[in-house]
Amino acid sequence: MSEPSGPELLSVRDLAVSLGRGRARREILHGIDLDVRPGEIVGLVGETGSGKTTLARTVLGLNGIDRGSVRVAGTDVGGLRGRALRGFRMGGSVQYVFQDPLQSLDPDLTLGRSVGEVLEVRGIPDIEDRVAGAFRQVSLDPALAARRPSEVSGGQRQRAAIARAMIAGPRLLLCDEPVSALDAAHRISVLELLIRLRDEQELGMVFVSHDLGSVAGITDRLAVLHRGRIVEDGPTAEVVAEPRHPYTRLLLGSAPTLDGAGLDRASRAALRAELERL
Amino acid sequence: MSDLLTVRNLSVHAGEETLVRGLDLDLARGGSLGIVGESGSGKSLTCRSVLGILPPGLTTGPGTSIRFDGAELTGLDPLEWLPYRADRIGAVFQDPGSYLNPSIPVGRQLAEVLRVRGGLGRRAARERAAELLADVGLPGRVAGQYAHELSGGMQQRVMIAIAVCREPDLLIADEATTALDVTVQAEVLDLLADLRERTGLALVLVSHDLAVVAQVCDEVLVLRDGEVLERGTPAEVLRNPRHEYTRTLVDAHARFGIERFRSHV
Repeated sequence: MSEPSGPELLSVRDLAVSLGRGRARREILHGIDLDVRPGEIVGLVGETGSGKTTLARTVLGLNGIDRGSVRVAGTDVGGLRGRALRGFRMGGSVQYVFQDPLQSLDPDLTLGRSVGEVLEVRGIPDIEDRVAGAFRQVSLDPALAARRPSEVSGGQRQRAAIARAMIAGPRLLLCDEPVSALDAAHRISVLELLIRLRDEQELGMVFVSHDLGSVAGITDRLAVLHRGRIVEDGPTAEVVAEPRHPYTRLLLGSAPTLDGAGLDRASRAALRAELERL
Repeated sequence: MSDLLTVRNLSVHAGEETLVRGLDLDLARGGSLGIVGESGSGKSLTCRSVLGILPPGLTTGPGTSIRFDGAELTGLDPLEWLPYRADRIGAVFQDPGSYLNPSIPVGRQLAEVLRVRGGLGRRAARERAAELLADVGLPGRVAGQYAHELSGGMQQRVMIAIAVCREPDLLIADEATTALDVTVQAEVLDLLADLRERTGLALVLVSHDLAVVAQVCDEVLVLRDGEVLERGTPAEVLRNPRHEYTRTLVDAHARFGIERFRSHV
C-alpha cells in the first residue's frame, strides 16, 4: 500500500443531489462528504438504491447539484456550465470503468478504435503507437486491438476498458463494480492491475461495490453509503475491526467469508431492527 | 441416513460437444450439498439434468444414472418426470422476477399451485398460501401484491414459498442469491437454513462464490469445464485445496476479501 499524499484529488462537501422531474423529484444524496487523495483507493460500498452510482455520476459532472460542492483536482465541478463542463468531461482527469465492458465498449468498433477514440477526438497524432502503449500498460497483447469486444474474454474486455480510461490520462478513476462480472482468476488479475496502476501513476480511485466481502482487500479506506448518507468512513482495517454504524456492522456480518466470522442470525436480526428504528 | 439423490456418471452433450463429464454426486436425506463453479462449469446443467429440464438440443449420455429416492429418473418421459419435478424436487433460480407472472398477485400464483398440484379447494389453498408466505418471512399484504411491487429479496422469498409448497424432499437453489444485496442474501440463506431445520429438506446450493456454499453446506463440489475438480467438507476444501483452481478461489478471498483484515485467519 502506498502512502497517500498531497492535497485531495476528489473533495466532496455537504453534497445534496436530487433526481427526477416534477413531483417525481427526490433527493438521493443528503449531504455527502468524501475525500480521495492521490494514490488512495477508496471503497464506496452500499446496497442497491443507496446512491453509489448517483454519487459517481455527479463526480463526472453528469448530475446537477442542489447543495454543497464537488472538486476534482481543484476544479469545482458543480460550478461548471456549458463549454467549461464539456471541457471538463473531455479533459479526461476523471475516467469511469463500468461493470460490464460489453455494454460500455461499442460492439461495432475494434478494441483499438475504442481505446484510441478520445485521442482521435482531441486530434492527437501517432494514435496507433499510443494505443499499443495503452494495451501494454494493462498487460494486454496489442495484437488484440484488431478484435471486437465480443471476440475476446471478459477479463480482456475489462482490461481494454481500463486502457481506454487510462489513455485519457486520468488522475482519478471511478470504478463501478469493475470485477463483479468476472470469474475468480480474472477478478484477481484485474484487481492486481488496478493496484499496479495506482502505484505507478499515483492515481486516486473510487471503487464502487455492493460486495464488500470480495473487494475490501483492494481498498485503503472504506466509505459506507446507506440511504444517501455516508454512515462510516475510515481506514479499511479499522472499519472492519470496529464498525461503528449498525448498517456497517450488518454489512460486514452478512458478507460470506471463508473464515465463517460473519454474525449469527440473531445478531443480524437485532441489527436490522436497530436500523428500522433509526 | 439413506441416500435421497444419487447421480452416477452424469454427462451432458450438445451434439458432439461434451458439457458435463462423468459427474458423480450423493446427497443424503436432509443433507446439503454445495456446487461451486463459474459460468460454463456445468453446475446449472447438473441441476437441470436432475430436474429433467435440459435446454433443447442437450441430452444426457447413455451411461448416466440419476436415482431419486430409489427411482431412476433418466429415461422418464416428461409426464412421468412431472411428479418429481413439481412435487418432490423444488427449484429456485437467479432471477425470481422472470419466473413470476407479472399480471397475477403473487399470493394467487402460490394458491394456484396448491390447487392444481395439491388438490386443495379455493379457500384452503388461499389460507395455506398465506401460511406459507408467513413461513418465508413475508408480511400478509404481500399476497395481494404483484411481482413488480416487490424487492428482489421478497420476490425470491415468494419463489421459495412456491418451491416448497408441495413439501418436497429436495430443494435446488441455483445462484438463487446472486442478484441480491449482501444483507438480503444473508437473510435468504438464513431462510434456507431455517427451512432445512424445520422440514428436513435436503438442499443443493449452487453458487459461483465458494464462501456462500462453505457457509451453508455440509459438502462441497468444485466444478470446472464440466468436471468435478474437488469434493469434501467445506473445512477440507478450504484448508487443504488440492487443485490449483480451488486455490485460486481461496486466494481471491484471502487477498481481496474482508478476511485480509482479520488477524485470526
